[in-house]
Amino acid sequence: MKRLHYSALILPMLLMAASGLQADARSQAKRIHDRLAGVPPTPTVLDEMTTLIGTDPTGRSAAEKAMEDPNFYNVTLKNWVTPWTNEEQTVFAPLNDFTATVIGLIRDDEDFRKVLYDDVIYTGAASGLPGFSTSNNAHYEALEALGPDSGNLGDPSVLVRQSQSSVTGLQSDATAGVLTSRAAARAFFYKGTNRAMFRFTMLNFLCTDMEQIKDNSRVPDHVRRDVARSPGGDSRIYLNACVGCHAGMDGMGGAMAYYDLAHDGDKEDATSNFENTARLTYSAGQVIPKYLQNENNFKPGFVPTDDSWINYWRNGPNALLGWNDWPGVQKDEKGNAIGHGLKQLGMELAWTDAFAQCQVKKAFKAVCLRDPDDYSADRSAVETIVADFKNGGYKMKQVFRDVAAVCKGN
Amino acid sequence: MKLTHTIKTALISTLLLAGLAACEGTTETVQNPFSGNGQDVNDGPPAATEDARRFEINVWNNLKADNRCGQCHTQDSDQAQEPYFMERSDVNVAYSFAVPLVNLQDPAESRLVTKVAEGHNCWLDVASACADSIESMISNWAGSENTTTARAIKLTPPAIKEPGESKNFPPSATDNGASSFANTVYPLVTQYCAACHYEEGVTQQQSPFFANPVDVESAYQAARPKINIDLPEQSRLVLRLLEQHNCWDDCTANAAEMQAAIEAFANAITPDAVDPTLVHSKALNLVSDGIIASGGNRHEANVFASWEFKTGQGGIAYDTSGIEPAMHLNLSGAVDWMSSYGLDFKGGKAQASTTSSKKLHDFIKAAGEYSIEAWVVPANVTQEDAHILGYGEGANLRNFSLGQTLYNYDHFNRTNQSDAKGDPALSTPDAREALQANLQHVVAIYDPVNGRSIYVNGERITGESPVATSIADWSDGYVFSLGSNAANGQSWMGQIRMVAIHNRVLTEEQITQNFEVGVGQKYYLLFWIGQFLGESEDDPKSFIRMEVSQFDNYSYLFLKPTFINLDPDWTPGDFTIKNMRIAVNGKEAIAGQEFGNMEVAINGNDYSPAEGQLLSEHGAVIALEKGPDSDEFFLTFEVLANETYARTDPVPTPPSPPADAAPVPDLGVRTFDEINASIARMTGIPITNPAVRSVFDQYRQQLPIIEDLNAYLSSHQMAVAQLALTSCSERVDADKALPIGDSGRKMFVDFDFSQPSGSAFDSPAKVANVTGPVLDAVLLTGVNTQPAASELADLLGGSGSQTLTTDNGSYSYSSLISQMVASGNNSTARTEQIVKAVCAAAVGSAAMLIQ
Repeated sequence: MKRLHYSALILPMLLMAASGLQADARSQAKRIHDRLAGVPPTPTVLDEMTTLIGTDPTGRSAAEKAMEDPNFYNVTLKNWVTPWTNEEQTVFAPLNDFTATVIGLIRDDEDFRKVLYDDVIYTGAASGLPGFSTSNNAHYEALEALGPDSGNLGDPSVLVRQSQSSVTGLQSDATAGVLTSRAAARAFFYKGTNRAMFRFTMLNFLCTDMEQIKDNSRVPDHVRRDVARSPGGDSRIYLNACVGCHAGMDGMGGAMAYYDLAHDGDKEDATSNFENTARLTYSAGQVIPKYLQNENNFKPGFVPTDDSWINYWRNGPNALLGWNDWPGVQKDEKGNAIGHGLKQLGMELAWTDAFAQCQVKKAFKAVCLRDPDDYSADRSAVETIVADFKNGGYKMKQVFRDVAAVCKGN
Repeated sequence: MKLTHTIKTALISTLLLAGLAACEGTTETVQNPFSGNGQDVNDGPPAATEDARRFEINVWNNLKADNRCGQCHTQDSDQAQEPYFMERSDVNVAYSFAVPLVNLQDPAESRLVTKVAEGHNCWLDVASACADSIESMISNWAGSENTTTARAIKLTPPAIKEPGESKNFPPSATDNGASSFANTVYPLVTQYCAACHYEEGVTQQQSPFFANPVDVESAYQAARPKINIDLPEQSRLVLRLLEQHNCWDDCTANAAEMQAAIEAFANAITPDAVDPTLVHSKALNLVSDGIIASGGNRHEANVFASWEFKTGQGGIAYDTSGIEPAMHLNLSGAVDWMSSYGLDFKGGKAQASTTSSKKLHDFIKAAGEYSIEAWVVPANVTQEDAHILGYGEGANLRNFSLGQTLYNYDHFNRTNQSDAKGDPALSTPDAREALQANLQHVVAIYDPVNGRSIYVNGERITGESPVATSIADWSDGYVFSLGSNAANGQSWMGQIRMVAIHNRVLTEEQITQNFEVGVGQKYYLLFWIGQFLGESEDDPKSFIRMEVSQFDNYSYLFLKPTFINLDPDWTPGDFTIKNMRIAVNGKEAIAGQEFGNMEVAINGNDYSPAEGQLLSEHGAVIALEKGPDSDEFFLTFEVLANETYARTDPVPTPPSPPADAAPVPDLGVRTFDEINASIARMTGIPITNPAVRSVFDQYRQQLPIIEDLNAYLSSHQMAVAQLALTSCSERVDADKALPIGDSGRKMFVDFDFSQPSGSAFDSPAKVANVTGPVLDAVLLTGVNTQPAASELADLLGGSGSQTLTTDNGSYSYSSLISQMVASGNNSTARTEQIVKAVCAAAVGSAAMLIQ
């Protein structure tokens, strides 16, 4: 057996040397399929895709064919989304309502901005699945275990679109796409102060972490009492660093003032009953206690009384995120958007240029295997795809199609 | 006996007081009537009145000694000098002289206090410390009458002055080239001051460390508060030399040399001019224009030792409780003064003498109970078993201590139920994370019946431990220290802003009362805005009043902005104050503009002549620049009555695109789930196959997570091989169970598994029945980015000697099938192994892996 293993090791090294040749239509087709579905095409599909490249040399038609493979949904999209659903950003997490909903919205060519605000959830309809639960993830884990044959997430009869409010019981105006999914609540409303939900939404959907958007010149009048103004006795830290994020972040943080995660036991304790009890709660009109905790850290700080929010980052350096007006947006005289609740905040974020750019860049990275910001040619390509994404109704399959076409090889 | 008598007197007084306070039902300031200096021998006539008796206890006993005011202000002195308010022969005579010299309503304004504060014969090194002590004594005298109430602050208009152009310190020590700090002041201080004012000074390590010879920026930061760039001759660096402080030659010449260096530095700084389009108030300085706000109504009925750390410099932190003996603390090691009142401990300590520390033993043992009250700022939440303050000898012997372990406060108290170091400690619970690296008010209390409790920011964190205990075993030979224990161990990192020791248990209400008063000196600043309301500069009335204090070493705290007109008969016409910002030294502060988005209509409904109209309940933390003596503040507005200022943010410029990065591989490897799905597709064994699922679950995280070719490791390949072998094994097992040529066979349709290995592969056709289907599964026809099928066929099953040609040379080898046939038993089991191996070698190869 040792000899066998040795041979198995040698062969890949030999074969690697064969790569890097000029790609022809069949090779382009194979790469498009490899990158989109994660698996090689069947000979039949390869033939079809090759023919499509002949008639549509951009490769887009061939890419559309590749996305019919179940593994585009069950493997590529599932692993694309999974790191967004937990603080550790691990890809080794089971399918959940967050990932399933993103996959469904992409599959159905929905306006992808809905991911942050719509009353939508996707659930499994295959036989033998445990029912959906707001308190555990068994339904989705069972769906994933079916595999791509009987659990093909690309099949609308297997993964079904539903209104989130009807499935979870959360009132419709409190739903906000995946932000109010159980998985997101489990990850980002767990203990803490709910700021994690804001930070990870910015990170996952605007490709912007707090460090990149620090602006200490914004008015900090929404920074809550729990933020130390002189951490360790040094207020320079607050004035130069902390407030750069908190001024804007806490301004928008009011949107989540009614949401919390109810649970028994701790997430970190595998022996506890956490995974069977953790569920999103919503207390309409009632600011949750953790928004008011550690009040003595700075008594003259902001005390939230409702779920209103203000976006100070519409002005100043973070205007570069490209804020746009969504239907029903309200603004103060400075042009700062103001609103109530997570649904409206979801729209505020989803309408940014950064949101559109982020989805394209993430897709580019997943398909082309390199960072699109690193090369001017790629930046130009991304710019075009972003414009098409916006003009085409924010359809993510179109984005995957277009980036696969860009990276199909010569 | 003397001590016993003293304590009895004190206890009675205290109990009387407590009763009176309870009757009042208010939270007024209560001061300690306790006198315990051991000098309360009155050989003359007794005090004639109750008030004279309180004078005797609280002031006369403390100050009549030869080394205090009694050195001169008594007729039996060789240097007898009026007024005889310390007349030792008759306390009643002394009392009659003292009464005109004190203000019991406002002890700080007493002539006895102000005279000493001016430098008149202070018995300590720092006049303000003597003044504070005498103020405490007079407060105690006044407090005994229980007449002290919250002092009414009289708001008097400040001098009206325009915000001027203002010089500001350059950001870096090297700014302004030849005239930079690094090239002007720094050479002098490093040459002459580094023996002490350097963290590793050879003589001693005396804060501030402005002479660090290896780090000019840290030296610059430390030197800035000691340099007055507007008035170089007023710089502390100059004045200290004139005060004969460690001159290196002739003090006057040295001071002139230092002043010249500072002038060279300051003259190169371009002043910041005020934007003429701003709508702004007049300007104020905190110290010279601020009206000192009351310290608040602290409950101090039983304080017998306290430190407020007001002196801000020197080697001693004074006990200003006014209760003798004073427990002054000697500073040693790495401990810095804070300009906002406090000590910043970085490994050093502040320690009293054994003799003076005995005050703790005596006062607390007599009462049998105590409260330790402190305002602290832990530097972090990672230190363990650290000594914030305590009364002991080292880590293993102590009467009491307050410490930190991670997020918890620990209260050690030696009793008949504990060991010699006060273990077991009472700690705040882990889950509460009560200790934060933030300014906190912490009170640890003990009494023999209810045991200990810890309060943080006014909230009781630990419950009482109702076990009857006694502190009769306390030693009187220990010392009291802050920051480190007496043996220089258990060093605590953090700041202490105030400490008070009470020989009574504070009630929850009293703790809350003291917490809400806060810590540090507060001022009222009156920013005149009457010019926009039709007032004359000669008769200013309309102001925005702010409660301002130094928040820490690096910032100010602006609280409770309030519009107020000093004319009680004034009634407001409606006008608006909108978007107010705080400006420092000629320009608006960048960060911390809490009031920048407020809008308040001043009107008759919300305005009251006594209180004015509050504009915001928020507090603004604004960066300190030159220090409270020099920083000049004013307020700006976007709307103030009829005046407006249009503030716009500059349009941000997108960053320029970076240069192209180094090329990266165009290809990558498949990742874990992709590998699993690809192998399933090639072998026809689904990922739901139990054997495959089991192996995949086991090896999932050992497979590649990212596509980067450069990150592909041999461990990844081992996992790929395991997975490929499992799927191929399942494939072979499934196919061999069916007859040759059966349509149910998915891969090895025509291969005869019943032959032993010696004959199963003895013809090219038989070999092709294995390698052919495998290569069909792994390779796609006509894709030129794959290896050629014929080469793979040779590698797997070619007969005879093969040649492998690489960049490093050519190698002879036999194919996989040839080697395995030759090296194993001639059996059907070996045949299956060979087929599985051929399948796994191809399926687990780069032909599958590369995408």
